[in-house]
Amino acid sequence: MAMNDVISLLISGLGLAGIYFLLASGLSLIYGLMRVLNLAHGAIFAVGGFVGWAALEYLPVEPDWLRFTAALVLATLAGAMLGILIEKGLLARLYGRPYAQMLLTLGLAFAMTAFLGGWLGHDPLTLKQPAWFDEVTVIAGSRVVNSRLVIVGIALILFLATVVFLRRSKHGLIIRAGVNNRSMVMALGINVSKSFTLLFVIGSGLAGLGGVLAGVFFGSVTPELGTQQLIFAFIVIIVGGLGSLEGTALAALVVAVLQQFVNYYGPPGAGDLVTVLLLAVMLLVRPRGLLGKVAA
Amino acid sequence: MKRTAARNVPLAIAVALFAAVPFLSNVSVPLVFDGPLGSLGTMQIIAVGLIFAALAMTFDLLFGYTGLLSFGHTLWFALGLYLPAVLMVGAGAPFGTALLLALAACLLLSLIIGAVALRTSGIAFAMVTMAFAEAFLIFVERNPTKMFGGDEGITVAGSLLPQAVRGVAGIGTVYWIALVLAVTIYLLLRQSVGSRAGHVLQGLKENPLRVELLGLHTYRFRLLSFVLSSMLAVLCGFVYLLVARVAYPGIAGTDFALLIMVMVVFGGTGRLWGAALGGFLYGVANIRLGSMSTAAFGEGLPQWISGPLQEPPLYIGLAVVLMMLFAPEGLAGLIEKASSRLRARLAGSRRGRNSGAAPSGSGGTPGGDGTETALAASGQR
Amino acid sequence: MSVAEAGEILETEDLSWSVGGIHIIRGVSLRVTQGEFLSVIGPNGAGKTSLINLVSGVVRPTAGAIRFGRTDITRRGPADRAKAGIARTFQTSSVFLERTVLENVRLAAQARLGGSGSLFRRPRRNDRATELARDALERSALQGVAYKQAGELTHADKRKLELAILAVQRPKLLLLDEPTSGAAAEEVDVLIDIARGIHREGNTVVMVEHHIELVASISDRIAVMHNGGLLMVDSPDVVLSDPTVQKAYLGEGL
Repeated sequence: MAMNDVISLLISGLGLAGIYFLLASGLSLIYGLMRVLNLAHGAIFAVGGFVGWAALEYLPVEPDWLRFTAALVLATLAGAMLGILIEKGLLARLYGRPYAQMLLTLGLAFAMTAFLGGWLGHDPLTLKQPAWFDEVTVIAGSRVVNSRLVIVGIALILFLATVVFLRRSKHGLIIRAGVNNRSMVMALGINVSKSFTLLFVIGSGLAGLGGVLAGVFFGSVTPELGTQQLIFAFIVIIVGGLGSLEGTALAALVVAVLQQFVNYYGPPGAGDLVTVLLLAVMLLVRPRGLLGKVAA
Repeated sequence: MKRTAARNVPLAIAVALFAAVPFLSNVSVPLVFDGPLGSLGTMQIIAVGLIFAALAMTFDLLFGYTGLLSFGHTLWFALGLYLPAVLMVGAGAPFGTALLLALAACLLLSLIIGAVALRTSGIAFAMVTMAFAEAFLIFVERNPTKMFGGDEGITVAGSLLPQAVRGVAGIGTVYWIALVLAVTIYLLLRQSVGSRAGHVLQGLKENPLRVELLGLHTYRFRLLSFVLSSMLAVLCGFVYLLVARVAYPGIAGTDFALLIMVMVVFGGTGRLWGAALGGFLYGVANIRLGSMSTAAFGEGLPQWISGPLQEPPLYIGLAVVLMMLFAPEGLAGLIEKASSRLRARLAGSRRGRNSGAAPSGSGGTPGGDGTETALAASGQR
Repeated sequence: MSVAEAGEILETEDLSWSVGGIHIIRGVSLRVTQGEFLSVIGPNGAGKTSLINLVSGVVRPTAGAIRFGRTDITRRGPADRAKAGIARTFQTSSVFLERTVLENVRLAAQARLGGSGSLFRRPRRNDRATELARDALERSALQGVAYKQAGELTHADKRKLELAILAVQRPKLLLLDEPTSGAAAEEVDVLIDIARGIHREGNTVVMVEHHIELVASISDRIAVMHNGGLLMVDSPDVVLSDPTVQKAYLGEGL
């Protein structure tokens, strides 16, 4: 095992972990608070990726890092908009019926993916990344592609921001308490639904942004991007423990780094399979996940 | 119990209709089928519908009756195609041996995977089953052993199959096999959910803690339901292999697993005939919508409208959204509502007004709001 | 079986349960004698229901041990404990709301008689489980609603249904969690009669209850819980005149 490879794989793994975290954290908290499993979360992620692609392709903004920033902002906004439409327009009508809500989001996921595919095709669309992203930086003697560092940096900032939001803001505290003991929070007469809408919008926004980062990470976007990553997000959620933000972050790291290393050194697809194996072992040893709060 | 005979009437009618199809070579159903009913092309489409009907019922046992939400049920359907195909094409096993070996392997595998996955429940169980199904898809697509065909899948040459199901003439035989499969699975599952164990399973769906406190190990009953539904799905895979003659990745993985759930929900969860209806309609519609997308549809409209209109999942997705908003009990719920209204009207015209509306509030019925759905839910379970 | 010979049927030893750092049960050591009627009282939040949850196996203790008869059941699941002869009710009735009243009781009878795993045998009108269930419904005066869905029952009838389920389970130890909560005054007597009937057959009863007159009249002994711990266990006269008990109640009575 060459040291160069180890460090660059580690940073790739951290980047992938960031993407998993952005997708999984919203999903996990939304489920933890209101028992809504938003299967359209992956489709929002894909929409974010496409918005990012379109912004990088067509926005007449210079220099290119500013265009990239605009792409991130637009994708976040698109995700948040979709989130508010889905929550206020559709899910709210099925309040208290988690299965119906989940199935509705499943229908949305099918429709949104088909829409993207029908409009823009199912072939991968390459992202026009800022030129600097493709260059390499030498870290501890090993060459690391800059885009990986950008992804790690953005994900880290967003993780810290989410932690601060949950620990410091009024809505964040309600969300945390609600995930731990929803009936208690409701019994206290606290209006959870407002905080839930906010959480849904933030989660969807993060997913939209995550879609752009995934486009950068993989080099391109496809309509199926969301569904593919959703599966790993699920693994991350279970390994980390449902409803625990810190657990999700920790599990994202473990799953993504493991996946990167095994994919690199093992036969094709082995890394993806190993994550499933990790999940199975986790269930046997510790079914509620690393830092689980909600009894699974 | 009294109603057993009455319950069999719709079944008998359905079987008679399907049994008549091969003989109706002059009857055509415009718009739905291209050729006449008795033509080989149409029979093949209907056979797929029957297989999907059977597959949907196996999922209903798990989801609708036991309350176990699996996002990976298609794993068993896919194994039912892949294992015999690999054994025949890759290992040269004869047809019968391949099926037996596949069955034994799946039994073992469903016990192991069930034992692991059932350590969780609720949404975690859904995610875990999804991960297992996805793992199989990755394994097949990346194809590290070079035996699973990768993206192309494994084509099973006609010469590997028994004489009776080979070639064009074999389609007729396969049609009958598909019909027998659907009826057998329906009867088996009806028996199972009505059995002593079936009553425990239905109790589990509603109140697992109560079941446990009656002294019954919920884990074992869940495992029973899981293994039974998985093995029956394997059988569906066997028959589908005879129709498709190729094991392909499209039927493995999360997307198809979720489609199976869509079939069941669309038809009506917790009612075998509802699930069967959903599966059948999906099987037929999918092939028809698939051929529609090649047709010039939405021509003259901008790409962002005409493009999506050619994608079958768009229609399926929107149909599910509408169903959840306006008829969460599925087609079966709609049919039951209509028929109970009809019965009420008939009874009403016979002896004045119908007495006593059905009491509402059957608490915890998925989608059981409003007196109308409560009526359907309380009378027909 | 004489009381002296039987000795303790249930013994908890230094039983503790905490969730997320909050101690809900603190070192409870309680001995329940075979055949006795023991009531558990205490202010809200004292841990009475948690104690029942621990004994019935719904939650696992963080420390301590539970013995039933002479067997250590601390690590056993609820199903095994139910099989061994521990049955319970809940504060809010826990029955199968979407199934009929008869099916609810029949399932309990089937669970006790065995053969629940059969995919081949169907429940019959005249099998043993159904007969047992009908008997129990008659004794609980529920035969009139046997074919109603349990979800449609009145609150008091749901309580009776729970007790009918208990009756077919034939438990050695009965855990009642506030059996009168939510029931109308005239129904309380009926419910207590059923509970007394089960007790009279030689079964041990542990009851959590607020109705102090009821507790005083029916119990052999009363256990007082306060802040997750066991304050005292003694005869009703002693307990109700004890100053610390009064203080525990008044101190919490905000």
